[in-house]
Amino acid sequence: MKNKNKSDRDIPELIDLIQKEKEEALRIFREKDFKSRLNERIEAEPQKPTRDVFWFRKPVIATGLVMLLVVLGWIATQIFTPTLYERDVRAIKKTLAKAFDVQELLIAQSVPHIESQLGLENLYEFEWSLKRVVYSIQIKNIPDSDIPRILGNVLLKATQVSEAEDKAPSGLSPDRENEFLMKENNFL
Amino acid sequence: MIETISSTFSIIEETTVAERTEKGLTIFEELMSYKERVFLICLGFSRNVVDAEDLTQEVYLKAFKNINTIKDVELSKFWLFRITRNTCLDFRKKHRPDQLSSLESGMKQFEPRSPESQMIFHEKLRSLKSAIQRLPKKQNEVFILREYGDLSYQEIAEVMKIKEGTVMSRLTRARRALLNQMKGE
Repeated sequence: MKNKNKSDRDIPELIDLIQKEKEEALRIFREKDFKSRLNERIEAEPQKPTRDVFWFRKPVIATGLVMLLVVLGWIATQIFTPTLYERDVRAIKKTLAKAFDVQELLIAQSVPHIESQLGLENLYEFEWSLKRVVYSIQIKNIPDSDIPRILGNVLLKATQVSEAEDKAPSGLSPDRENEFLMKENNFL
Repeated sequence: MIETISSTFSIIEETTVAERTEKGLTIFEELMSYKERVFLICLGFSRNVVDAEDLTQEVYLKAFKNINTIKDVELSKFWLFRITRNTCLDFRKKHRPDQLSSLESGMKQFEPRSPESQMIFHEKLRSLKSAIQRLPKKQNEVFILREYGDLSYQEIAEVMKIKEGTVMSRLTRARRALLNQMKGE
């Protein structure tokens, strides 16, 4: 308690010291022309109308960014959305990817005897003939009316291969085999 | 002064209406009446007159640039003191206490005392200033705003966004801590 009272008595001395310091400092401060110096500094400051310029306001910037994103999104959809043709091709590819697994298709259709008629290699060749047909249909813009005829040719050739092999038990010579291979130029 | 401020405003505030600029000018002129209190607060935070003057300029420059952001004219005084406090705290962050230039910088030549009393005065002042520097941050701020800026408890509470009771208790603790520190030296 005694100490506390002593401290409280010392406080005016402390305040007095601060008061003297303030008086000294203020005297110096008043001797200088604060306003004119501030004025010079304001003039020297680079004029950057950033804060209150409409285009630099936060809501405007945020709105601008959102609009930019919308425009970019729209452009992206225009660029990356497939055309009607591309969509058709994709759909065909997707469908044919399954349809062209001929073995599975045949098993699913419960016609395994075709495999025994054609032989595994011929079945494989037959599958690729069909793929080449579809590829050509896509690339060469073959009219729909021609497709049954072309597919008919493919099936016909496959049957011919099978028959030829039956007649030649030692197997077809490579030249003979080539005649039956379904290429772009012999099924169109 | 007003002419210069007007011209600067016209460049900075291109988008604001003339009426609002006039209002800003009036507020700024009103705020200029607090320049000595601002200077003294800066003196408390910065430890010497030269830095305090620079800081005061800095405070008014910031106030001038943002004068049109003031929504409530009645509170412009607190707004100015808040800028002062923040500017001084930024200054402290950049300048560690040991990097500060001499306490009495710019003061010696103006002091009309005998060399001996002048020396005693500066020694006591140095001791006081370093004791203030060593106060906990919150107590230090309250003490400077009160004893240097002559801010009332209510003003300090408004500037620091704390309760008046808190201001009083921090001030009491700061004074006691100062006395203890100075006695210990």
